[in-house]
Amino acid sequence: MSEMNSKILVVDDSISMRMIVVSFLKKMGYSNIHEAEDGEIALLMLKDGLLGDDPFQIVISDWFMPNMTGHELLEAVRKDEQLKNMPFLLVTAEGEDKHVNMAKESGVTDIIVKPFSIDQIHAKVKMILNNN
Amino acid sequence: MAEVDEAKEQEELKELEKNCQLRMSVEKFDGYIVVNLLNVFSFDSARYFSKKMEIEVLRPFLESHSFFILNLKSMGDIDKTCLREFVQMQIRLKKQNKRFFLTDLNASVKDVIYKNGLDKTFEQKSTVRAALVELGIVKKKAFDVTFLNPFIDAVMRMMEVQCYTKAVAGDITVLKPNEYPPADICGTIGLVSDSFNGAILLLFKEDVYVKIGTRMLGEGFQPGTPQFMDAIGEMANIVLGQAKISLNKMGHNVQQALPSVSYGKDQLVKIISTSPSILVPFTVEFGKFHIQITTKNR
Repeated sequence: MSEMNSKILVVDDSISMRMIVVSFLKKMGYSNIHEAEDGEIALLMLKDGLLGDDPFQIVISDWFMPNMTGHELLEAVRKDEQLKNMPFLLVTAEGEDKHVNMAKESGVTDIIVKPFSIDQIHAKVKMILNNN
Repeated sequence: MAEVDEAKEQEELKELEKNCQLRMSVEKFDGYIVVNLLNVFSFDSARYFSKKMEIEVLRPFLESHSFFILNLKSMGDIDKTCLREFVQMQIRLKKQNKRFFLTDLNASVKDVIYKNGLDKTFEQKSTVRAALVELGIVKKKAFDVTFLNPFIDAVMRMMEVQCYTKAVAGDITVLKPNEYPPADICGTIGLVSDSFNGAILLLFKEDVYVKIGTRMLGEGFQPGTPQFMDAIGEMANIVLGQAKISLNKMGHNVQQALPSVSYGKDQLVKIISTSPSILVPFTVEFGKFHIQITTKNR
């Protein structure tokens, strides 16, 4: 499968932030993009992808969300035998060391701090998908 | 005899200093000692460090002083083997019920400490002042107008990176209590910190907001769409997230609440506060908007 056909899950409770990330991904050439409003829905979609033999290749998630936060989603993914190696790109407004360290301790693949440009997200997504 | 020994020790110390890159200076204050480390703490500096600490810090001040601060502001890098010196210092001081802080660590030093699983071993503070605040030796800083800069910088960066427009800050105005600038749409985030409580507001007239939102999210950005109400909250989140990085480095420990959004033609968003608010105007290619910062010292 080519990198451009990678199945991508964008998770954010903010519709505007999802719109920004999705539009950047489309401009970068990705087309198989799916959206979730919180961690709970995202986890269900990740499971559904596995059951349908059509797994996601990367999760791009916000940190603070209602119901299930990005941190809780990350922990759930890392604990799940089938999902534990899922690349997880965190997009957050919280750029302080304590948050970055917490995310690293929980096994995040990489972090982007808001505001971010298309070039920043392009470089991170491309590197993650190529490594996997 | 004691004088001879001291002279000999000083000679040894000088010899050790010659053979390493690390430099140290000791400052004595009432109740606390600050040891400033300069240059690189490489393997060959370990003996110099321990000798200097023994002769000039621990022996003369361990009994009389309660707090010991290692200020790493001017230290470039540290070899991981040298972390043992800090651990041994921590053990020695802990046994005597003394407190030990590391301050002003750069990213590289923090990384070495983190990678060796020692980030929770040491009490780390962003500055010597922040450590002294923690110890109750100096008072917490009150919010003053100089702390506006992180907010102003954050707004300009957010506008440039996420909204593709350049924002120029104008002269600030201090609003009287019960004075409220009119706006059509407002995003508000509450702030709690060690030194002040308050709120930050993003205030837009509808026509300017629609043009900025269209630049950020594309065509179709209009009242009644979900993104219209959502984007301003996200903008406020981004601004505060950026500003917090700088404010917390100053020792304010700012925490934020979730944003709220209000929309209505020429509404007056009333923040209940007896303290004056600060209003900062910004000009973009589409017109003007404002941020309002209301704080009350704790």
